[in-house]
Amino acid sequence: MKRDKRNIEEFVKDKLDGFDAGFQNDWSEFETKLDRAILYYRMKVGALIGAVLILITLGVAGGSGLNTSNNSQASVVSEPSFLYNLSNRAPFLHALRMRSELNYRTKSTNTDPNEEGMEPSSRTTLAISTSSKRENAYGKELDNVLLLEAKSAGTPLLLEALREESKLAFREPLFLRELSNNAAEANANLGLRAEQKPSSSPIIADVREESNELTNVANLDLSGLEADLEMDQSDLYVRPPLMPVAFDKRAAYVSPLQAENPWSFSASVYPNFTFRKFKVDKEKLNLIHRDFIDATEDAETGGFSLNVGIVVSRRIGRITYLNGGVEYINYKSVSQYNFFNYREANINATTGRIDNYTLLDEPEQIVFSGNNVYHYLNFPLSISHQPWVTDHVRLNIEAGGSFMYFLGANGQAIDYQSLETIDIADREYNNSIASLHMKIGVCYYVSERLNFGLEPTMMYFTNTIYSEDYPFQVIPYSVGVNLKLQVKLN
Amino acid sequence: MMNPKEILLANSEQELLANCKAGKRVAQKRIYELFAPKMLNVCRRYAIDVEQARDFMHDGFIKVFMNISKFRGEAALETWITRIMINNSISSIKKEIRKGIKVKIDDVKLSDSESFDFELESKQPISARNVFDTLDDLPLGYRTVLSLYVLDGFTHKEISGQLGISEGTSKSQLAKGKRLLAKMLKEKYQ
Repeated sequence: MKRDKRNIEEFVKDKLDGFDAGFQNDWSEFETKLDRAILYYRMKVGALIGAVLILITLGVAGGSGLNTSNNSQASVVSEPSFLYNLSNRAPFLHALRMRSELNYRTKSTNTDPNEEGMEPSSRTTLAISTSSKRENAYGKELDNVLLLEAKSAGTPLLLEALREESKLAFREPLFLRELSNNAAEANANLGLRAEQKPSSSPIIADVREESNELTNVANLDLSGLEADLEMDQSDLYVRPPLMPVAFDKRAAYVSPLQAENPWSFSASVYPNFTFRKFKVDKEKLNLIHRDFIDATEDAETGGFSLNVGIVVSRRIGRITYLNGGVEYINYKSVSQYNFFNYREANINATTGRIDNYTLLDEPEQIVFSGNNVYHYLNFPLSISHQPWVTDHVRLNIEAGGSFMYFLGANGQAIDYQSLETIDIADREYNNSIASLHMKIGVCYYVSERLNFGLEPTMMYFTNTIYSEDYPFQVIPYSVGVNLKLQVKLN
Repeated sequence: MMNPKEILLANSEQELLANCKAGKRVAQKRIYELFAPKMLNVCRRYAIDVEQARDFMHDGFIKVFMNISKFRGEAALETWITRIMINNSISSIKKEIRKGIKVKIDDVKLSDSESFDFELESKQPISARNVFDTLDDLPLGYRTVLSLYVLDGFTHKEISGQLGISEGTSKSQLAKGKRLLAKMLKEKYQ
């Protein structure tokens, strides 16, 4: 009889120190594997170098093409067709209000030099047509459109007035530029004249009626414009010009706050509230304790996430963008349980599933409350269409997808089978999730660089972070609301 | 101060290393034949059977030869190779290990230094094979943590980082594993 008494660790170490697991020299088998591994490694390195070279080549080739496309984009952006809706914006009327503050030049010899620096209260009348026919040069009917054309002599003055008023991003209406370039041809096509009172200097100070052929012309008193910008549009419709005007009804309005640079880099922070639904998978009932099912389906229904990241955007249309970036997501959910445990689960050691239950002598109340935090790294890619409602307010209609890499989890929860408290970091998770999303929201631009918004979002997940043993049927949709704060970095 | 045999061995190892870094197949073969028997033992602790252990060992040696240029000589070559074998084996079976580890939070209060005197009266000497087979019968979580801590000298912090579990879980798995191993040895051989 041999007696052995010592520390269990020392015992095991002594016995297994020289243990022979039965090695047999298999160098030839290993050598084949080694050669194959070296070959795969060289192929990987070669593919990586090739991909880098291709990207560099594309970058160089695309860069030269980019300049061209930028120029054409710039030309599209910088030469919008002139189309304003009076109810939203009235730059021309604003210019009229500023008329008294402008030192304008006039070609007219009738201008009284004393009238320069006139008082704001001076009056101006504009002659417009009250013709009921409202069509543009192409015969198309105009709706809620104010088209004003100045006589050639008055055009430089109007032009200067508008330039004085403009901010950095203001773009000169095309029609004015054309008219100024074709001043001599405009005489016969006037729809507007300014009648100047002797003691006042109107905004269109030197617009003169040179032709007596104009008919159906009525005078419009524009005094008191500062107080009253609501004008009867029917009084402002003009006789359609005979001279063609570059005019595109489809061009969207662009606010002066929209950046001219098609590329933008910004930092964004947005909290997000999501709502989820949990339902036990009927085919996995033996992976979850029977007493726990109802409690779990009610316990976790929502969460809060904070997304912080960098967004890179490229304007691909007038108000359409391609967005990408990277963001860190911190998702927190609260688990609260209060239920009675009536039976003990008998778990099969081999399959890991519940075979049957043993009733407890007395039911046990389980009360648990805990915060669980999940960490992700998200790589989104999307296309957004962002029409301007006003100079500062913009809609965001966005659709895209993202790849989320699971970083880890912190917190405690109740084990689905044993009902013991466990660390959620010890559970199994999948490494990544892919998702599709759609947002429709509104943003307020404080300035070109700073905006914040409210964006209801819907997401569809192609998979989850949970493993096959997760007993719940994962509803792949989530609905949430983003409160976005975005700061432009370039 | 090293004795002549140690100096000779050290010089041989240096020469072997240099040739291996140069990619010479003869040097690679020599290193494989020198260390493979012990590395198979190491991998066997974390594998289900000998075949899986052999696969772990082959993958481990491939990583050794691919990264031999990174070996700085700060530790012995055998120690470095052993670490690679363990890391490779653990990463291959990490999912299974974590599945087998579930512990009550209260269990973290158990002290990992709880070492009890193990008394065994056996009719015949207990061989290494007996102890190994008994260790092999332990649940995967207990066996892994016990092997890492007792046989391979990992700290609980290193084990928690390696397996992706908390230090508390590591300590409780070790305590439970030691108790269960002692109980099984007594039942089998006492």
